[in-house]
Amino acid sequence: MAANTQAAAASFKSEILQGIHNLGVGVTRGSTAADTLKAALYFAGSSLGQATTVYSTSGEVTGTGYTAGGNTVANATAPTNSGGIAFWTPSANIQWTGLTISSSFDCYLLYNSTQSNRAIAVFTFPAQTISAGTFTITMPSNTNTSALIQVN
Amino acid sequence: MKVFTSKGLLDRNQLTVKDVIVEDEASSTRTVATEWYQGDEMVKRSVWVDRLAPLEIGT
Repeated sequence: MAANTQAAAASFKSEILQGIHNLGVGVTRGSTAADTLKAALYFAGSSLGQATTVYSTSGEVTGTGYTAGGNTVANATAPTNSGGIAFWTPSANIQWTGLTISSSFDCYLLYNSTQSNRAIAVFTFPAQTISAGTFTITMPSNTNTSALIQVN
Repeated sequence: MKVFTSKGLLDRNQLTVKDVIVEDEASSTRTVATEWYQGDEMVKRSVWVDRLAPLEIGT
């Protein structure tokens, strides 16, 4: 198994051009509902990266306080643009409480559960374990210079 | 004060705590891990991952 690498899924880039993903609330596809997004955690060396196309349980963490599929990501902020840059950030931090994951994990997959669990991006961090604790992924300010996802 | 740990609820005065802070350029993150020890045994660990820069879709 190869290391996990941080990347936007290559499939996501073409899918946004097809209007498949809806990260905001707007008039698209006959529905104004934003898609449901989720974040799943993966063990180190699970080979996630640019080539990841969908959520999979292969390599996903297991442990007390963790449910397969991960947590739903708050998605109340519509994508927007400024200074020629489009950007989007989840509207709340992603957090697991009462968590124990004893083996090293080092990334989360942001994916679209409304659209057949299609991958959006892999975000890595230094490998961690959690013991009877809380794991929090803090979201940045939603600006064209600091948002979670940016399209130049 | 009680603290929930892998050994259940323990008195705060039985525990030592330290924060381990790592800034990682590769992932553009600053990570703060809070580790609680009963003697030499780690009994609780919580982590905050703070992303410092956007993921650029075009790259």
